[in-house]
This record gives sequence, C-alpha cells and structure tokens, in this order.
Amino acid sequence: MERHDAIVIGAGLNGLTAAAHLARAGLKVLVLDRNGRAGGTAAMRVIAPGFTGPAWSLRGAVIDPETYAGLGLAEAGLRVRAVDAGIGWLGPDEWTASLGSGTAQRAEFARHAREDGDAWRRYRRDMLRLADAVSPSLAMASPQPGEAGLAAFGRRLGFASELAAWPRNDMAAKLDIWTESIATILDRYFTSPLVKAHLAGAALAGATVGPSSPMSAWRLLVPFLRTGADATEGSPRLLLPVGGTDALVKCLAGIVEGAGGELRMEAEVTDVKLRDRQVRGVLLADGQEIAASVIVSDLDFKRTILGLFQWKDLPGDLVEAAGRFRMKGATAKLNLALDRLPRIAGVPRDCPALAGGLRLMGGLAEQDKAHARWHMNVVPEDPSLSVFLPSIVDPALAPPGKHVMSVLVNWVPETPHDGPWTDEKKDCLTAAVLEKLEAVMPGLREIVRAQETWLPHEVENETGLTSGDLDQGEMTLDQMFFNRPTPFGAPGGGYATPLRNFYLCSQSTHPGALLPARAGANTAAAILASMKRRQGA
Amino acid sequence: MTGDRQAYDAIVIGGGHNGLVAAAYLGRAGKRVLVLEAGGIVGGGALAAELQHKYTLPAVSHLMDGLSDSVVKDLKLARHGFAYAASGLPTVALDPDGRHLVLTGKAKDDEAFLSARGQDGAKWTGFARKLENSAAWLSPLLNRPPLVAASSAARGKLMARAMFAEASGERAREAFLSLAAKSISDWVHEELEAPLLGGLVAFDATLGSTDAPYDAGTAFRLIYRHALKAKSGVAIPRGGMGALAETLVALIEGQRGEVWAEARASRILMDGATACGVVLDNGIEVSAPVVLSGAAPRETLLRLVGARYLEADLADRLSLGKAGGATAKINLALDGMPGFRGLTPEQVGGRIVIAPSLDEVEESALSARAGALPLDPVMEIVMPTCHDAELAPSGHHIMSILVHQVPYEVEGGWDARREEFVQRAIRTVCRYAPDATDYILAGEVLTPPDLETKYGIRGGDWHQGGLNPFDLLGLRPEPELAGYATPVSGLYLCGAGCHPGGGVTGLPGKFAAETVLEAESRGGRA
Repeated sequence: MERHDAIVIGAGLNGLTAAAHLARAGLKVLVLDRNGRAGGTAAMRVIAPGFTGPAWSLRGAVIDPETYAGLGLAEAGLRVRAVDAGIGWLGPDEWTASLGSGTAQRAEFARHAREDGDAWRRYRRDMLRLADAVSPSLAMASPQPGEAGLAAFGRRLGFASELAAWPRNDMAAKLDIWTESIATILDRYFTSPLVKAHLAGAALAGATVGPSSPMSAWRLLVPFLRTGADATEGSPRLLLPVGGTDALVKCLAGIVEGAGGELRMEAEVTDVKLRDRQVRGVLLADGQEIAASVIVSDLDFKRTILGLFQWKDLPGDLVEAAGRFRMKGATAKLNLALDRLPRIAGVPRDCPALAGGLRLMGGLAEQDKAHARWHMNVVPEDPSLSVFLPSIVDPALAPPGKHVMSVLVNWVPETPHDGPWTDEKKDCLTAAVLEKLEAVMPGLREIVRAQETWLPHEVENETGLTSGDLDQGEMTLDQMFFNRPTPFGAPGGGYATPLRNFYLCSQSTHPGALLPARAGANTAAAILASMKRRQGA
Repeated sequence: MTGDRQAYDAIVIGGGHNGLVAAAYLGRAGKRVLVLEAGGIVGGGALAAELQHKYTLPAVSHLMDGLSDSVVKDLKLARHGFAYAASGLPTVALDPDGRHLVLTGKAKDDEAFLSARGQDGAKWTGFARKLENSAAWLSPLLNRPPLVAASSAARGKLMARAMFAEASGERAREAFLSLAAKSISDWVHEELEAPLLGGLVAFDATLGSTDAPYDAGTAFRLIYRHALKAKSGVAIPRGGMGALAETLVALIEGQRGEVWAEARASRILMDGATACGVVLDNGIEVSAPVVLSGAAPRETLLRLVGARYLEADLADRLSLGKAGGATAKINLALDGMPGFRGLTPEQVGGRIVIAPSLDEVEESALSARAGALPLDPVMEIVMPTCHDAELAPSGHHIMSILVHQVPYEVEGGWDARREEFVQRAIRTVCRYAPDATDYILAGEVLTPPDLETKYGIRGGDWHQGGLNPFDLLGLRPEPELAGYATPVSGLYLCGAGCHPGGGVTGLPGKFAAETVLEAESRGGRA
C-alpha cells in the first residue's frame, strides 16, 4: 500500500501551508484535494478565456509574512505587492480612501472632517498597540483555561500577569475591542460619517454582523494584525501575491515537492481509516487506500468530522460539537470579465487606493439595515458590495488592457425567507448588483464581456465548503480563540483531536479569519512539537 | 427644609431603591444622611404611582426577583414591615392557539408539564441546567464588590482566580465561558425547538435593552438575570412596588436621616476638586463631606459635576455612551378581572409573557431599531391585585404591562403615535383576553422618553448602561469608576450603572455604602 509520513486533506492555503512546513521539517507529505484547482476558498478560476480571478473570495490569497517565515517564498519565486487598502464610496463627491502614506492618509481624512486627520493618528496608534497585545496568542494554540500541564500553567500565569500589568484605562481599551461594536469604537475617534462608514465597510466584508452589533469591534483590528506592511503612519497596506492565489499555491507546492512530497488534485478523500481511535490512512473515492502516520484535515470542521468518519467510531460529544459548530452562508459572489478598466464616478483614474478595492456599502445605518435584513433571510434589494480588481495588481490575469472584477455581495441569505433560491431570485440579485455597479461606474454594462454569480449553496456544491461560509465557521467570540472550533475542554479544541495523530488545520480553527493561513502554520508547529516530545520520551 | 446650608454626614442624590439602600446602610453605621429625590415620591424605577388616588400602580418595574437576600437581612427589612404578597410566581408564556406554557422554575415539574404537551420537555431541562450552572458560577462574582483591588498585582490574582481557578466548578465555568459571548438566538437554535420557549427566553435575555436576540452577548444577559435571582423567586411586595421604598424611607428616618421629595439636584457643590455638597434647582445648598449619586454615571459626572473636573478621556467616554433601553410601560386600571382564555386564576397572577416566538422578538427589535412601532408588541404582564387586593378598590384590578422593543424615537414622533401604540398593545392583550377592553377605566402610558423625563431612566434602560461579560472584571461602568469612588474626591456612585447592574437588587447601593464606610475607616475621606 502507498504510504506517506503525513497526508493533508484539502489543498487550501492552510493545508498547503501546513504541508510546506511539515515538508521543510523532513516529512514525506501527500496533499489530496477533490477539486481541480488548489487554493480552497481562495482558489482562482477562469471566468472567460484569458480572464482569471478569485473564484469565491473577494481577493484570493493575502500574505501574512510571519505565517510563511522560514519557508523562503521569495527564493521560491513569489513576488508580493503592497497595495493601499481601498476606497469607500458613497457618492461621486462622497468617497474616501485608505492610503499607505501617513501624510496622505491624514490629509485624506481631514478632507472630510478637519479633526479626523489627527484622529487617524491616534486610532492607528491604539490599534497597533491592541494588535501587539493580541498577536502572541495568534501564533499558537489559544491558551485553554481548563487545560492542565506545566506549559498551560505558564501560559495562564503569563496571561494573568499581563492583565495585572495593564493600567486600568488601558485594560478597558483592550477589553472594549472585544466587547464593543464597530460603530462605538469609531465614534470615539472620528467625526465624519463617511470616514466611519469607510472603515466599518472595510472591516465587514463577508461578516455576519453589522457595524452596531455588540462584540464586532475586533474586526477593525484585522488589518493591523498582518505584519510587515506598515512602514509609514498610513493605513496598513495589503500584501498581495502577484499572480494571485495560483502564484502562492505554486510556491507552496514547489516547497512540498522539493522535499519529496506530492500534491494530487482531483483525489477525493471519502473516509479516514481508524484503529482504536488512531489514524491509519485514508480511502479515496476511487477505492484506493493510502496509509500515513499523521493526517491533517484542511476541510472545515463540520465536513471533517461529519463527512470523513463513521460516526460510531467517534466520541459522541465530538460529533455533537461538530453538529453545533455554526457555519453560515453570508455572501454571494459575482465575477466579471471587463473589456477595459471602468471609470468610478468622482474618483481619479490613478487613485492608488483602488488597487486595494472599492466598497459600496453605504453609511453605517445602511450597513446595519443590510445586516438586519440578512438575519431575516431577505434577499438584498440594495446589495452591499465589496469590489476588487485583481488585474490591477497583476495585469497578466486578463488580456492586455482588459480587466477582471471580483464582487463580494455581503449579507446574502443562505436560504431566502420565502423558500430556496431559484434561478429567478438569483437573476434578481445579479440584476440588483449590476444596477448598483452601473450607478457607480457609468457604462459598466457595456464593457462586461462575461459574468457569473455564485450563491452560498452553489459555492458549497462546487467546493465542499459547508454553507459556502468563507470564514469556515462564524467568527463571533463564542467561536474564537479557545472556543474555536469547540469550547475548550470539549474534545477537538485546538488543532489536535481526540483521535490520535489526526489534526485540524482549516480556518475553522484558531485564529480563523483573523490571519490568513496562520492556522495551517500553527497546526504544523503543533504536529512537529508533538513528534519531538514523543521522540524525546 | 429651611436654611441655606445644613450639615449632613452624607447626601444621597436620587431616591431610587439603590440610593435608599445606600442611605440605610450609612444610617445603620450612625451617619446622618439626606436623600434627595427629584420626583414627588421616592422609589425610582421601583416606586408606586397612584392613578386617580385609588390605584397603587407599579411605576416601571412590577416584579422583584433579585432583591438581595443579604440586603433584606442586613437591613432587617422584614422587621420593618417589608413582606412579599406573593413569591415564587410561575411564568406563563401565552400561546396564540391557547396551548400556554406554565413554568414554575422547578426542573421536574417543568419537564413533566412540557413533555405532556410535546414541547421540548427534556430539551428545556438541558437548557435550564446549562443556564443554572453558568449562573451558579457567575453568582458569587455578582454578589460581592467588583474585582477592583487596590494594587495591580492583587487585581491580577483576583482575575486569574476568577477566570482560571481549577477549583471553581469546572463544568459551570466551561458552560459560562462558552456561552458568555453567544447570542441568545444561536443558543436557542442549538437547544430548543418549541417556539414559545424560544420567544420567552429571547424576551428575558433582551428585556431592558435595545439588543436584538441575535446580538452577541445576549446569552450572557440571561445568565446574568438568573445569577441575581433571589431565593424568593419572582415576587410581588405587599403594598405594591413602592413598599420597598416606603420601608427604606421609614428606616432611614428612624436613623435620624432625612428624605426630601421634589428636591432635584442641579449640581454637585465643589470645593476645589472635592465634592462638598449639593445645590438644588431651587437654589438651596446642602453640604456634606460625602455625596453619593444614584443617578446614571453620565448624568452624575457630566451634568451634576461637569466635564471640567474630569480627565478629558473619561468625559469623552461618558458622553459617547449610547442611550440604551427600549421599554415602555402601560398601567391600566380595570373594574373587573379580564378572562384570559385557558388560564386559571392562579396562573393569571403569574408573570405573563407574550412573545410567541424568537422570530417575533427579533422582528420587534428590528422595527424598534428602525424607529417603527411593533405591529404585535412583545410584553410582560403582571396583575398585582391578584395577590394584594388593597392596591385597588374592591373588585377592581390593575394590569401592569412592560412593552419591550419599543423605539426611543418613533417615526412621526411620540406625541402623534402614543395612542396608536397603546391601541396596538391592548389589541395584543385582547388576543388572549378578549374582554379586557370592557374593564378598562383609566390608564397611563410611559414611552421610553417618558421614562427618562419622569424617572430619569435613560431610554428606559434600568441598567444605566450596557451589560457585558467583561463588566465582571470590575470595569463597570468605566474602569475609573468601577469601585464606586470617582475621580472626584468625596463623590461616589451608588446606582445601577455600577457593579453588579440594574434590577431591584439593592447591591450597588449596599456596596457603595460599604466603600464609603471603608474609606472613612482607613482615615481618608476618599
């Protein structure tokens, strides 16, 4: 029988990152994926001949340098571009931008409210401090309050002494970011409704909360968590791989293959073989069995537990925990192939922030309304859009002079309140999105050469991702940190599972969508640490 | 109340139950205390108003379920005449089709009742057990002063113990930590199927706030509510909701203290950076070395003290605090007992909740946020006259209705919509008690803005500010204010804005008084 040191199920970015780290450490790794193209939720797709863009996600891969530290991606040929983080558009005279230059950023916000220029400086300083405070916990399994053992005790002690060392005001600020709403925190700094709507909109792409939802404020921190993009006092820039997800996949696959490993596409795992709750290998859809001593799943938590095992072989509470894990479809996706770069009303053609995308989400009240309608499973009539043009970052993704537009439609119900999606409802949604785009980019309809719309359940059918939930599990505090994917103390908490040598590495684990692919790097670290302990013992 | 200046040991602003409890504790310690109440009668959110002088109506709150057993004992309230007319009242969730649910809070009975109706019997028991476990873990944290210690090291130790101690009941802590950040909607979807139970739980978890059931942290609010539950359960005081205030006033006056009604504080008198008295809006000044305020923190520090005495940062945070609350109150005087279809007289005397499903509570929350009147308002109904006939003329009754998820600012303005609102609420009641309108003699309605003007309860938010799990770490209402003392020397907070929050518990008042006494015994004024 074919045999490997480790099998990674799913060639998403977490899976590939885990595989690359394991391969670098000397393991013979096999990555299996049922789909034709690697990249998981960040995967790319040919939209029309010559046009390629992120298939399901807004931007595809975004780079966090620390996640790939030690892998030598640059040596492996990856080129990365830092781009300004996008434009928030409410009207031709009402738009603002996130700019990487501090001077430009202050001037840009001051254009809308004089005091907001200085407010940016304070906001950025505070957010960076908060990001520093939370960063260490993103690089490892979250400290589990119920966990025993010396290491856990040390972590807990460190956490407690850190809490004690905070001045009381500072502590409040640190906790507020986890308890307050986006709107409350922004109100503390900014006065311009436009600036607030812009920053909130950036934080809410793909979210299941609205700007006034309690415990939503941490989303504002996310851009500040990615390191290495912050040379000036401006907005954190986005680090995007030139060539998109495919370029990153190629590098990671190259590292795996360079170390004797293999990436096998269109190979669907149907079962993980167990003996006495210890993994033995996997069974493929074509009947082939492959043995491995370690198995890592990059499928979402629900699909992993409920789909890859015979339930009777699992501890009952693990099955129950997977059943409870909340995954919610909240976005639809439009992909457009365009004959040229559209003109955005009121925005100069060369505005550098456009490379980071465009947000058409309205003011805070409209965002709240869109979110509320989603809760009532109402198909949006005035869709809330996050737009990205990957061909600005890499012109090679479209024929010369032409462009690809990636549109994430926020707050789209998985199942409408009046019954399942039909072609008619889908067409209505598409029409509403195009109408909104046309209003912002006059003449857009004439330059659309090809278009496609993906609803949450269609993303699920195509990729296997439960509910088409791009976050692979709702990112709310009860499913974050030590609660991700299951509350601590319950089996499966963290990356290891109650099944010996079976690990989870998808975005369903900590830190989830906080940092791209970090879960994969953390899982590899957990596996290697456990192997080292066993060798030592 | 004559003379421009009178000397007291302490002045308490606000004759709400927390202010009165604080005054009583100080009086018990031998202090001469003056309580200033802006309204005509004391009692704050828990007072009794008189409609046409014949009906003793509960003003805002109409039930007690959390008056701290320690406060009752310390102040010997029973000996001073405070008693419940009824306690351990059942909760009745009304069903549009008449299949009402009656819950006593006793696990076995409730399970049997629900199972007999095919309504989630075992599931409810599981849900209730998780709720009780979490509440049991939380309760000790609420029933003692907040975890604010003098030194940061001590604070760290306390936090570490609270959050991580191995011995503090593993399952309970687990249940609490995983539930604390959840929304009540998610929790209900995980555990319950019966629409009535979902509606009831969502109603209880959001009552008194503007939170929608799908907002994160609403599960915590339910746990919090249960953690503060007193032994007596849901109860109605003999003599009406004002009885507690009356007992406390008698107690305070018996301790040489004074309670002035219609005495609205216009500002706190400052001597340099120290509070030294209160100026009333009629110009009278009263002085004391210690001032306690039961008013909301924002009102106290920004209006009564003034931002210039505060650090800019604190003043900013206070001024940004959202107006919370989405509660309205309707009191009806009835000349007979309306017939609630399918309820026994005993059940009519319980806590009646109209919230047929989780969806309806969510829908109401959404309309409230959009400034619309709910089509079918969700509400809690209490008929105190079922237990205490003296509250109304013989044979007459009082129906007290707390309508939940009512917008603070309504489309078209409250003046234009008030009548429509009352009609909608009464129409909803009539769906279950069709003859209710036949008995209505008189009534009063208090919209969320009315509750603010009349009782100083901002937007009907009796917690005086949001509640979240981190408040337990001693950060309520703001970290600088969490220990009842304020940055203004001599000034203390004693209202629901402080740990452990709103509801008729008496605990903020008690802890504030204890803080004052302790500061004095340490030799400083504060």
